Amino acid sequence: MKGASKILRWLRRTTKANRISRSRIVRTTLLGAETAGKAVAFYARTGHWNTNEHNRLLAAYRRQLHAAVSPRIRAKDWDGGKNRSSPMTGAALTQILEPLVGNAQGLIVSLSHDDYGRNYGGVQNVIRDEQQVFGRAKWLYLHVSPASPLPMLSDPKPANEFRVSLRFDGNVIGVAMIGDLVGSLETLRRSIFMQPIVHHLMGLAPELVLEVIRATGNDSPIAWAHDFFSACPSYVLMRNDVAFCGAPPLGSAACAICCYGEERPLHAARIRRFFEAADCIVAAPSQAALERWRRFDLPHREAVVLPLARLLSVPPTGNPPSRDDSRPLRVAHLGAREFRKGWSIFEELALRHAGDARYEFLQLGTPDGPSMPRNIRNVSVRVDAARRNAMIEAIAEAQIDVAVIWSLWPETFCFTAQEALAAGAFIITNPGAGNVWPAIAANAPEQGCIVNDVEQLFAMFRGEDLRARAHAAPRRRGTLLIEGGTADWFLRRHATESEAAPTTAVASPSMDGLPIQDESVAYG
Amino acid sequence: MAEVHCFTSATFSYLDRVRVLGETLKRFHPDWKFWLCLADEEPPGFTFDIAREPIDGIVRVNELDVPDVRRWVFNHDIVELCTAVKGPMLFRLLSSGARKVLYIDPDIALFNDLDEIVCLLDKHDIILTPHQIDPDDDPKAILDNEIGSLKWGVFNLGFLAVANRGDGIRFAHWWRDRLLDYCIDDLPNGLFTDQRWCDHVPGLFSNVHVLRDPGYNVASWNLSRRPLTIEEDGVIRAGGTRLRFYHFTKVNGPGEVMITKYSGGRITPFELLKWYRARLDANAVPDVPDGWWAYGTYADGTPVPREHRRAYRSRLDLRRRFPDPFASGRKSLARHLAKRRQ
Repeated sequence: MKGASKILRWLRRTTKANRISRSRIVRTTLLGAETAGKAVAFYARTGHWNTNEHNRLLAAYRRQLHAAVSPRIRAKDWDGGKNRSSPMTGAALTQILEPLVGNAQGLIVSLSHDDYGRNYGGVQNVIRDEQQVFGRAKWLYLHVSPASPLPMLSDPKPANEFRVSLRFDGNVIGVAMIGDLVGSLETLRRSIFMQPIVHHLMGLAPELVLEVIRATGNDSPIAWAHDFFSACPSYVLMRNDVAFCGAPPLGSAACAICCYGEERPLHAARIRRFFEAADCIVAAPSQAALERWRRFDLPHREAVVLPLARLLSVPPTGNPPSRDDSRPLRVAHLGAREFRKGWSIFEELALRHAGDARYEFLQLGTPDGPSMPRNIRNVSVRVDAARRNAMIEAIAEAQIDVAVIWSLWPETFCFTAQEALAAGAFIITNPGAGNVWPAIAANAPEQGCIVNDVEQLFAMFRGEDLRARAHAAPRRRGTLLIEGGTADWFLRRHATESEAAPTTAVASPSMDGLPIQDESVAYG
Repeated sequence: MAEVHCFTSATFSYLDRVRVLGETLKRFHPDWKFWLCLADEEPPGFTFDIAREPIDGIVRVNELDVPDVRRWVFNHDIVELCTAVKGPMLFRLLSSGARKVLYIDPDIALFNDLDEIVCLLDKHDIILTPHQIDPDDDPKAILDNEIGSLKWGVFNLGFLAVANRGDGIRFAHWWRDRLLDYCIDDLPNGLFTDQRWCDHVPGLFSNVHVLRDPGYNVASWNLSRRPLTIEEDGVIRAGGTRLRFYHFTKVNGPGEVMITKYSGGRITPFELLKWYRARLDANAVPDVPDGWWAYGTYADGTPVPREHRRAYRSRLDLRRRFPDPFASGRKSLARHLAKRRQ
């Protein structure tokens, strides 16, 4: 009672002093209570307090921006990934490799940013797949990766100071100096044909990769454009990790304010010198990726599109799965909770429809990453070498109706789009998502739609047409046929060339004419 | 002599900002002569080596030909002094023969060249940028921006360009005189430093160009009508045109709040803000104590209250009795005013 009378006294004083009516105070209080009540109810549904639709997505972008740092700073956090094994000598390396050469058809010398046997991801999968296909065709596969992986090019170093991790036919050999590797390859090339394939230059020094290519004696190296590292250390071309930039001209204002901007000019110059010297055959996983890569105007011998997988429709074995109109539409984000994959957009979509009985939101992927709203359910899916169809099966099992594939950068292939198509989900994507829409258009154009921007996406979910649209789309089922990376294409081409000129199976001395690296760049 | 002279005014506590302005200015206009009008003196132990700065020339407040300069300095707080020196400095540069002079606030950074300004000065004598060039429609924005400009001045004096002829010279005379006498923050009496005075400029002078290009002088007070965007060409645009310079007002306080309010949900303004803060960190001046201003204290280190400055400014008897207002001790202005207050 004492408290109540105090409040009344305060109310009297306040209203008198500020010349405002008591009813206004009561109204304001009630309004405040209503707002607070809404916030509490929203929190109960989602675990989030912020009920403001206008600034919530911006807040997510700002968190991402806040975390963005230059690759040189990020590199300090990568120290833990270092392979600390002592390097073997050049003689020891040659001793290991020489007997393995035997009667093989040839030796693939593959280079990428990390050890594909220890790490899992898109590029690592491609390497694993192609190694197996090459293996079946009696080709040997030597994989070279930096012993100290980095989120950028390695600074130029002398060859006898650069450590690389080596894997032969999938098995770890150990660590060697790249200079010793070059020496061993020069010895081996007398007895076996070698084909260099550069999957990725990250963590490597392109000047030293050129030395490896020279050592193979092959003047037709293959370089993959798995992403857009050729143009910028931000291999997804995300300015400050928040917005797709499209690799603007060097020295642009956009680069000046970007956390990758300081590194980019030297990065671009070193990559350009690499492509000028190597005269590569460029392989891209999609036409969309190749078209984007060509905008960088890097010299190359020729370009090929080598899709990483093919979607095969499975003939129906009974009645197609029925559409259950009584349950909410199941809407999913496929894969990790990564900003560049559109996770924040999906999260915002779910928050806007918390309590909306029309929708159920799911994330199909690893359950790690940032915490997510309570109204998104995680279905743990890990696609790995042993379970390549895990995502397709999970989409089908969870009866996902709609997959929102809202990548913020132009995906060069996008397995999740293929997997969603294979599992019969309706896909919503944006025009900037790279190969997502081309994949839909080529395989099942009626099984997806392209939405211009986030506002249109939100409007689509606010409206009433989505369910009908998703249900009208044919729910195809299919499977993904994993292609062998470079292997199938290369083996066909090599066989044709060998028939035409059998001597090409022996090392060509003409490779000695490859331009030698600019000393000032290598050691400057 | 360089055709274009550009100056800024600051104290040492803003030297990081001056450096960022200098480095961005030099990026686009290496041939311009960039001056710092210094409204400060070095803190103990700090050596200001202009050879290591992106600055071509420095003019100290006591070199401005201001009568009774020490007392004049005392009459102003830090913002007032930094703005008051702009008039005498502009006059000095024009008098020394500079053909075209630009003033740019230290908390501005260039994102593109200002060649258009140089061309416009061939036709116009004075160029001003209004705070707003497009009416707001949201009541909150009208209150913050349009009504704010009615209080603090229609034109933002973070930027000014003047040609050394005709009305450019007449303006420089007039502005110097007014700022020598009336460059104070006294909103109830219609004064706000150097800025409010320029509301008169289109009336008092002819051949004035009001620059209505949204790419110039973008800041939190006009962001609501000039959305910042960046396309694949790498050009930063404000309201659809090339961003020339951004005014990072009060970036570590209310400036960010206002950017948040008027960013329109876009991340680009925050990208600029993050970049600017990183440049400030890279250009930090660790040897200058936080909040340093040589004229901010009496000789014994006691801060000079604003009311002491106002009293000294308005009372002839105090000015006569205490010729050195900064002195401390028994017969000082500080002691006198402190006693009166008790």
